[in-house]
Amino acid sequence: MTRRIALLGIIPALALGLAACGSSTPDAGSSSTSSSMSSMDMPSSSGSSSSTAPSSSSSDSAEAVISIADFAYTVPASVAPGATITIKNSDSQAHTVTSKEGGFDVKVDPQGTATMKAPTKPGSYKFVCSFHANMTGTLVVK
Amino acid sequence: MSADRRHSSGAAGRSRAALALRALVAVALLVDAVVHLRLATGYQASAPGGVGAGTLFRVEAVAALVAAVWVLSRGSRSANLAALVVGLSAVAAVVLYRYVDIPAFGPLPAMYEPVWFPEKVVSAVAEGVAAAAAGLGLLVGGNRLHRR
Repeated sequence: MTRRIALLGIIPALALGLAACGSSTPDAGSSSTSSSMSSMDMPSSSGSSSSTAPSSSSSDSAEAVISIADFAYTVPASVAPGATITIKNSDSQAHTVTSKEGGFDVKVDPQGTATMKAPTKPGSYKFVCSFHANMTGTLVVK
Repeated sequence: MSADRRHSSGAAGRSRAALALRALVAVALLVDAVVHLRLATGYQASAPGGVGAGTLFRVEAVAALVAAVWVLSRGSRSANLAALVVGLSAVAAVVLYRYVDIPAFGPLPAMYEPVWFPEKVVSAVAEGVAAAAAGLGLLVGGNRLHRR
């Protein structure tokens, strides 16, 4: 009898264990290919806006691209001060591009794109994904 | 040394080993719970679909904590079985979602994450250790019962 009660408790635990762990992605209904972003605490010199998908970028150009794939950033070698940066997220989870020193904080939805303005002051800006602390990058503005 | 004393000393040794095994299961499950609780907020924000990944992480953490306390307080077969199920299901889930892009279904968000990072590795190893130690506890307990 005791064993039967224990088994009854264990079956839901198995289901929960299978459900938990790993990571996450968008729900089926919200997956999209359209652009979407939001910004938090953006300074006046680095505003941001929603955008449609950009073309590829090159370093030091007026428009640059930060790509996110497999939970890693690909960042241009450098960007011009105040340049428009498009962020393309091909993962199935949302990410952010968040400067540790402040200056930019942009959320990019799963399979989405977003834009932001590079800081106007030259320098190296370390950033992270505030959802996944293992994701880091550096934006060089010069 | 008489046969009685040898038997008594052997029983004490087995008892200490069983206690160490229970402690190992509990510590491993505790580590797993702490990692899940630490990551839950970020994952809820990055994958809010269904009930949200963060909610699932918290449920997993609570299940691990309950199993840890149960194993520590009572080294029963049921407690070890619960720890085995929690550990095995968790390690199976983390490996599955690391390598297979499973779409969202029901209340579960899609949870594909094709990377390993330190906290995830620690959690997965802890889950595996908890499951293995709980399985060993079951075997040892089973053999002891069998001998009786």
